[in-house]
Amino acid sequence: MKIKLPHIFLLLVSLICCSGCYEALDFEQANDLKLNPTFISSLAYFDTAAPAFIVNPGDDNFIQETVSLSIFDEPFVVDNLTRADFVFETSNSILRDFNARVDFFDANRNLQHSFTIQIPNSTDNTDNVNTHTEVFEGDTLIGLKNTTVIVFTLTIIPSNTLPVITEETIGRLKLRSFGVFYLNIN
Amino acid sequence: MLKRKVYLWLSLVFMIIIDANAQNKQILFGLNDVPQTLLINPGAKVDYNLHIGIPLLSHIHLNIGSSSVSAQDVFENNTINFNTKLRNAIATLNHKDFWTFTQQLELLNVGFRIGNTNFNRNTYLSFGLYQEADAIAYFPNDYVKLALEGNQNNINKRFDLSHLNLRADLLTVLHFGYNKTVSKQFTYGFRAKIYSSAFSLRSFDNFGSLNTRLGSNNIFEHHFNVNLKLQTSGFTSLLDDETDSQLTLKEIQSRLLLGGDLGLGLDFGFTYNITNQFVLEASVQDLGFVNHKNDVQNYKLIGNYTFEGIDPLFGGAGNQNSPEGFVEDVAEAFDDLFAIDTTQTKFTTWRPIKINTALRYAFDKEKANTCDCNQYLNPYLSEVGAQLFMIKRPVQPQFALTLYYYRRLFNTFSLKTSYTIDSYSYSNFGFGVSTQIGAFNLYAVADNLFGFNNLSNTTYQSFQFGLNLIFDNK
Repeated sequence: MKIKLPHIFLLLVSLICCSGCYEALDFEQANDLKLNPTFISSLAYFDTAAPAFIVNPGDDNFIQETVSLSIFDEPFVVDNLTRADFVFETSNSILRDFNARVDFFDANRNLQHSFTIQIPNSTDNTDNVNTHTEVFEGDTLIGLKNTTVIVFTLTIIPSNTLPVITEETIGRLKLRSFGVFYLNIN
Repeated sequence: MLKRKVYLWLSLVFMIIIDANAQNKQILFGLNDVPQTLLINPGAKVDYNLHIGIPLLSHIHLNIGSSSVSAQDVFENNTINFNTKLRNAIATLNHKDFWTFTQQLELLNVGFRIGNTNFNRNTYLSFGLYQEADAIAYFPNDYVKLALEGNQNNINKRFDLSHLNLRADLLTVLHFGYNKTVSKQFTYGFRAKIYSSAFSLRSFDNFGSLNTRLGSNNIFEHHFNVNLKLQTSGFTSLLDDETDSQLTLKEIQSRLLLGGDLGLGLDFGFTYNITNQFVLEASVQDLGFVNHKNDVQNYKLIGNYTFEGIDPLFGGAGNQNSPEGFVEDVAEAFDDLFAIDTTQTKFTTWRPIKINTALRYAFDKEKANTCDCNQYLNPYLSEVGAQLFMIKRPVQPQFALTLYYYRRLFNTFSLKTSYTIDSYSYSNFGFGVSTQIGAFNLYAVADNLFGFNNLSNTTYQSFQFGLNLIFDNK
C-alpha cells in the first residue's frame, strides 16, 4: 500500500507533465513580415538677405551650388525605399520673382530628374509663403536612387517692371525643406 | 537575409521563452524532503544524515517564459494576417515586459552530517557543482516603435534608448554549504560559491534619445543623444571563424570547470520555529559577483548631435563654408555619432540576488508520533503557508507571492500544491511530489499546470526533476 499510493501520484504527475501539447503553430508566417515605417529627414535650408542677389551688368542672373550625396549608396535604402516626397517651403519678402531648379545627376553626370520651384515675389515686403512637393515614385524614384549629385540653381527672373536689387533693397528669401521617405521592408 | 534573421530572432524569442520568474522555485522551497532545497535556503531543516545526488540527474531545471505575449498570440495558424497579429502583440507590450530563460543542471551534490556523538550531530555539510544558463531580455519598446512606424507620425516624441536591456550568462557554480541546527527552534546555514563564467553578455544602463521636433532654422530638426554599451566576455574567441567547433566545445568545457572568469558568492538563510506549528523561513541567494577579464570585448556608442539640414546655400547664415564642405562636415558628424568604440576593459557583474521568505503553519499531528520522542522530527502531516520571492532584475525587482498546501503521506511520500501570483500570471497552479523508496529519493515539480494543456499559449512554464540517494532519515 505504501508503495502503491505514491505510484498513483507519480503516475498522475507524469500524466500532467506528458500531456503537455502544442497547438499547431506556423512559424513560416514570419516570412510574411512587413515593416512600413515612414521617416522624415531635414534636407536644405537658407535664409538670405536681398543684397546677396545683386546682379551687376555682365553677371549671370543665377547662382548655382552642388551637393554630393552618398545616402543612395546604401543597399538598405535602395532595396527598401518605395517612395520619397521632397517638401520645400519658400518665403519671399523681396519684390522680385525667383525660381529654384533642382537637378539630380548620377555618377556619370547623366541627368536623372529635374524640377523647378517657382518663388513668386512679395508685393509689399511681407512674406509670400509657398510650398512645393516633389513626389518620387516609379521612374523618378529610380532616378533618385541613382543620384550622386544634386545641383541647385537659383535664378532671379528678369523683369522690366519690378525694382532692381541694390544694397538698400530690403526683404529676405528663405527656403526650408524636408524629405519623407517611405520604406517597405520585407 | 533580413527575413531569415528576423525569422530566427522571432523563433528564438517565442520558442524559448515562457516563464517570468525564471529563478523562482516556489515548490522546491520548503520541500525539506529534497536535498536541493538546501540550495534555496542553506538554513533549511535537514532530516537525514547523508545524501548523494545522482550525477547529472539530481537536479534538472528548465524555466522559460514571457511576461506578456505567448507564441500562439503571434504564430497561431489562422486566417489573421501575421503582421496584424504581430502588431497586436506588440501593442500590449512595454519596455518593462521581458523574456527569460533559466536552465540548471546539477553535476554533483553531496551532503553529510558531522559531529562527535549522536547528541550533537547537528551540523550538516554539503557541496556540489551545477551549471546554469540564465538570460533575460526586455522588450526594446521605443526601438521597435521607431522601426515599425518611423518618425513621421512621431514628431516631438522622444524615442528612449534606455529601452535596450538584456543579459545572458552561462556559468558553473561550485558550492560548499554549512547547516547548523542550533535548537529545536532555530536552524541557520550559509553556502559559499565560486562562479566560473563561460560567457557573459550584457547591455544595461543605456540612455539617450532620438527626437525629431520643430526646428528653428529648418522645418524640423533631429536630435541624437546616444549613450549605449554592450559588455561581453568569452564570446570573441568562440565566434572567430578560424576556431573549429571541437576546440570551441573544449574551451567551453574548460571554462565551465573553473577555467572561466571567476567570482565569489554567498547564500545564507535560517528556519525559525515561532511555535511548534508556526515557522518562519528566509534566505538570500547569490549575493556575489563575477570578475570578467578573459576574452573581454566591450562596445560603446556615445554621441550628441543635432541635424537641421544642409546649410548654407547661396551664402546664407553668414557661414562661409561651401555646401560641399558642409555636407562633408555633416557626414563626418554622423560617422562620429555612430562610430562604435571597442575596448577590452575588464568588468565586474553582480549575480541576480534572490530573496525567499516563508511563513508556514503545520497541523494535523501524526497520531503515532504524540510522544515527541525525537525533538527534531516534524510531527505534523500537513502544512499551509505563504511565500514571497524577490529577484533583482536590471530594470526593476520582480516579486512573486505563493500560497501552498503541503501534505506528507506515510513516511515515503509528500506532495505540495501551490498557487502563485506574479506580474505575469494570476492562474499559476503548481504541483510537486517527492517520494522516498528505500534510499532513492525522486522528486518532480511542475509549475503553471494549466499551461501544459497548450504550451503554445502559455507565457510561463517551469519544470524541475531530480534523483538522489538519501540515507538515515530521522
